[in-house]
Amino acid sequence: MSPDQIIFFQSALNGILVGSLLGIVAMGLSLTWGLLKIANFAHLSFALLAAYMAYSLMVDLALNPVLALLLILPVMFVLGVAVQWLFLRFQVTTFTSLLLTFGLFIVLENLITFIWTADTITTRSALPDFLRKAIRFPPPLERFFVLPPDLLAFLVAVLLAGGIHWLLHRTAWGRAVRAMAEDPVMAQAYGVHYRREALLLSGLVSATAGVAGLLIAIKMPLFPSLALAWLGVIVAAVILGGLGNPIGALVATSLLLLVQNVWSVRFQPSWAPLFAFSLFILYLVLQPDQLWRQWWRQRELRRRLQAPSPSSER
Amino acid sequence: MTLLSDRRSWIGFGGAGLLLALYPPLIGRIGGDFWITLAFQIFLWVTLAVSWNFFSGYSGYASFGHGAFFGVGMYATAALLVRTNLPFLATLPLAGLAAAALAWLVGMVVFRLPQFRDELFSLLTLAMTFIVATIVNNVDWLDGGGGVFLRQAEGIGGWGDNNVALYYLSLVIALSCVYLAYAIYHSRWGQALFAIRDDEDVADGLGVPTIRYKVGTFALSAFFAGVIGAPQALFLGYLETATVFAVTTPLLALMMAILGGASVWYGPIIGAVIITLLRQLLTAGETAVLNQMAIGMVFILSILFIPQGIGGIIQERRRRG
Repeated sequence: MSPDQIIFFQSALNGILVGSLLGIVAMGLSLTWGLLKIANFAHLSFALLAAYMAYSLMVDLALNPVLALLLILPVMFVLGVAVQWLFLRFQVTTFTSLLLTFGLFIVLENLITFIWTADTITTRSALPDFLRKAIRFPPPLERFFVLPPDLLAFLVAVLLAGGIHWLLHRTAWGRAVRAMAEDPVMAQAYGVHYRREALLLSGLVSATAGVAGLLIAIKMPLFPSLALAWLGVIVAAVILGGLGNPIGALVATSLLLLVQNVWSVRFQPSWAPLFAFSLFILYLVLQPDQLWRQWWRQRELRRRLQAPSPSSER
Repeated sequence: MTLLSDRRSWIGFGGAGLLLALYPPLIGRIGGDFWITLAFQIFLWVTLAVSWNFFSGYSGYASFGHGAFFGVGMYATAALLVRTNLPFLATLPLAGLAAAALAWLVGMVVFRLPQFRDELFSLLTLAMTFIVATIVNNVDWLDGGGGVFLRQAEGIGGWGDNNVALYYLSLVIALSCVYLAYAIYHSRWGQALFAIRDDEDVADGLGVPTIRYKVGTFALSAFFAGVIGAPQALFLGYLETATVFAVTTPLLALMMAILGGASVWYGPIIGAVIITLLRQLLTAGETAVLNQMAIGMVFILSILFIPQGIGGIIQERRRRG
């Protein structure tokens, strides 16, 4: 393999791995947006806040990452419940939730600056050795490598996406939540406790930001405006992946970062954001998912009209 | 009511203009340059908030594109000053037109598509801002990644470092913008925009040419953001895409309009004055971060507790007698 190809594939791989880390954050935004009709942009700040908490726990208090996570999760859960409580209390619309969470975004960015200062910080010194050494692939691919934090993020992201998908589609609770998203009034008539499930869902989603935060603290240097830097890619991915669809959000974030990375190898890196946002706008303008759904429906209809009815067949 | 013949509004606007024109020789002489720049900042944000509002507030299409239009205006002025021999005043309308052209292009596509209402319109304009910033950051004629210094440009003439001149220029721009918002508010045009906000499908069905109104007003709103970008570019003297196209700009304009009251023509003026004063008077050293936090909190609380804004409350009081 030529060096060019190696760089190409390595950067594609890195794109997928970093994308899956941001994908965990995208998943959370997608879930509350799709299921609770709350566009919670402060979810990005929650992830960053969790990352800073992880930093303090791991560097200042010298706790190990697992213990740090156990302390962060309940805090994030309560934060998520509190925010959703506020939204329910004031009966906000999706649009108002977007404005409110942008306000919260500013508050949290400055709160982080106030507590941890605007300097760039890193948990590198506190990490155990096995998290720092690059892992090489077995022989035929020995020139490729992954960093342990990236690999960890990838595995956690896949597990989370799969787990949430399973929760939503295979359990009674998931069915209740999806029914609630479809039609809150009808779902309540059938005994779904909207308020309770909404608070619980928001808490759980916020806890996933805690998981993402820990991984972010392990993976990259932290600074207060980091959440703002993710905003574009994550919002684009959430829309592209389909609202309320965790697997879609994860795949879309990974693909966007893969393309951005590969683009940066061949062309000027500074042009890379153009791609993600143009794709995002094109998707919104053309709405391929709607076209696809329409085409599918028409095909079904035509087939049913042409074929003899199933009852006469049997 | 035809506004041009309405004597009361002429007296109001003329009087306000005259009073503010006397400000530099009186207050500026005594208090110094700080008060001139503070007033300049207020006019700048009044223009941004009011121009945001007469499209977004009146029609209900909340745009995050105002930062892009403002930035396009700044960069148009900077590029024209640095690359050509045009005098500063000639770049002013061009800055506005560049921003208006962008809004017109975007509007022509977006306002024809039914999916772009509410939050999707907002996100689209946000994505537009990122795209514009990327293009400016990569085109050498505009910026190219290194930022632009424009202090040395020939075309600046007597405008460089002349805050009193910038004061008067921004006063004229802000006053015309406010007057336009006032005129739209009291005309059929405003009624059409309010109808779009309340129920666009009904408005469309009743024969309001909604697309024409939306595209036209959006472009006009962008025009003012672009024009006020010109004096801001001079005031800053150095532009870079990261700060010029920061997401906080459209957010602040939106905050001001909502805090002041987005459904009243004078609402954004109130919001712009309050928030600019908060930002300018308290932004010193240690308190800067806390101050930003306070602005965010004010925004959140005002949306939750007074969604109609200060202007909305004033209007309710007046209506009740």
